[in-house]
Amino acid sequence: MERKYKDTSSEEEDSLNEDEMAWIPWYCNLKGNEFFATIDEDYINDDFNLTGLSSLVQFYDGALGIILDSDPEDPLSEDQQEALERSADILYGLIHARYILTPKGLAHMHEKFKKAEFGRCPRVFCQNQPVLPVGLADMQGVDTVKVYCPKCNDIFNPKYRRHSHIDGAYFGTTFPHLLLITYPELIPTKPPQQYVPKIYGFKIHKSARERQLQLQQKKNSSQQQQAKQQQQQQQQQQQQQQ
Amino acid sequence: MNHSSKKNKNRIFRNKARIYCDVNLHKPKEYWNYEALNVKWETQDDYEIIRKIGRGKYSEVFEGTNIKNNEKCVIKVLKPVKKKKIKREIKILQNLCGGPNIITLLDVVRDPQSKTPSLIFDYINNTDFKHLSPTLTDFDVRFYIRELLYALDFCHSNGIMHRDVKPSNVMIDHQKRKLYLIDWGLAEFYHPNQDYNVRVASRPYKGPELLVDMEDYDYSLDMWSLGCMFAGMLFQKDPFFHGHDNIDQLVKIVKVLGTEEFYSYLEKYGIVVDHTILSIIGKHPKKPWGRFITKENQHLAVPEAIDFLEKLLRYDPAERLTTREALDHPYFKPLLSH
Repeated sequence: MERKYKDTSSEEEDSLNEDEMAWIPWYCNLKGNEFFATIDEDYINDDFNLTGLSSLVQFYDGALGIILDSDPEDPLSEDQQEALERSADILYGLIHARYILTPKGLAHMHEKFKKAEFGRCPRVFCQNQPVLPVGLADMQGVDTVKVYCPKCNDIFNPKYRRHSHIDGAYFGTTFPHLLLITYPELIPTKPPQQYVPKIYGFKIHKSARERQLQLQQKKNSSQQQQAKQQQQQQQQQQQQQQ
Repeated sequence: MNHSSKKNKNRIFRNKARIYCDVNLHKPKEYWNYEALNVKWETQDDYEIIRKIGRGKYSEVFEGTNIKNNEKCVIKVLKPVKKKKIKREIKILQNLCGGPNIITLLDVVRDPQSKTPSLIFDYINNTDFKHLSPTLTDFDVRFYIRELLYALDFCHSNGIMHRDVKPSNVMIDHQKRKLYLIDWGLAEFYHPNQDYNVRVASRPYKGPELLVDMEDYDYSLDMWSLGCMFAGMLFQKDPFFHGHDNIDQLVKIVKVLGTEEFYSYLEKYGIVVDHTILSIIGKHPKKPWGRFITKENQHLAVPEAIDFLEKLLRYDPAERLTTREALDHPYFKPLLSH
């Protein structure tokens, strides 16, 4: 699908053609962007909601223009266009992180969660529990998005590679937990069954790992000593020969 | 019982244990009739694994812990074998439990899912025999051999032969100066006139009777194995007889003890050995024990030690010292006050 704003030769009105999609739903429909909610234009149009973002995003105005489908005043070079598009991606993500914490945004993400659009927990004992996107940082550029399982209370890499490049800050550290506190009925009641490793039916004692490490260190140090002794012997032999 | 097999048709003289021959005759049937044992399997939940410490043909062995009292233990997981063999090992361990220098069986458990049986033992802080052996003094060797004899005398006097005596089945906690005879998986009840499987013991410790298919062996098999182990300690050469197969094992033995006594042993019992084996064995003179003494082992290989060894390593099982006779040997005299 062609992006509408590339159509610079268009002499039509500002309003969109009926068969043309607005940038936001188009963007959220792209393969790899399935985790994103379509943000209400009203939310973006309220300057208050965007406070502080202008200093975080390059070409802020142009990027915002792209998101809101307003045509640029001057025709842009291809390079400029590309830079703006990149900025639009970032700006959308940062607005998204704020939007999904609002009642409307939470409701929206709730719907997506119910349809398991963020995937399901890979753990066997979580029994296909749907997961929620989460960031490990609220600053853009730190880490990619992870998914959080409310059943086992752990996070995982997203199942599909196409989601592994999305910045975690576009969802933020708060989102899944705010969602669950807002809709407490979503919190799984039964704690997941814990997997217990066994050897011929015997559990492995908690001291096992420490004990192995101790023995390994002992082994290593005695090997080092032996090597040292051998070296010294060789040196002595060489000296004697000289 | 069955002594009518083909290979025994030439046997003119049957072997019988010189001591403890009728022990099981005087015991109640349930003492030795292990097949009738009803094992009471406990749950394995009280025990957890810490590390692997060894593996054998018939088992895998782990260091573990009893989470109820936090005490260390050994978990011996038995590989799938005939139920009969498992029952034999358990029955023997139960019969000998509490005996001097006998490893203590603490519990018998089973995985309810796979039915894999495991035996739980006391944990021994063992020093590897290969490392320990060269550091032992003359006194230490006498001390530990006597400790091993206490274990053997106890099991023989209870009608049981161990049938797998070797260094790796002897656990020594050198700090505490404690010795334990372990792995009773091949042990068997002795009944006079019964024939036994000769495929027991580890090759370097197999008695000549096993190598010439003499099935009416007895407790004295353990005395041969003890002799081999003792020779290894005295001369700092373990295994002392290092054959590459069972025939070669016999060759290694006759090259030390000589062929003359070997043939008179066969003759005494009417044991027939295959011609091809006889041709491999050939003719060898007896090697004086003094030839094995070196600068490195002369502090251990003292005359009483050689005399004791010579009385253990005899072809004829009936000629070997019994545990009682062995304990009376002058070799152990210096220990009496200890």
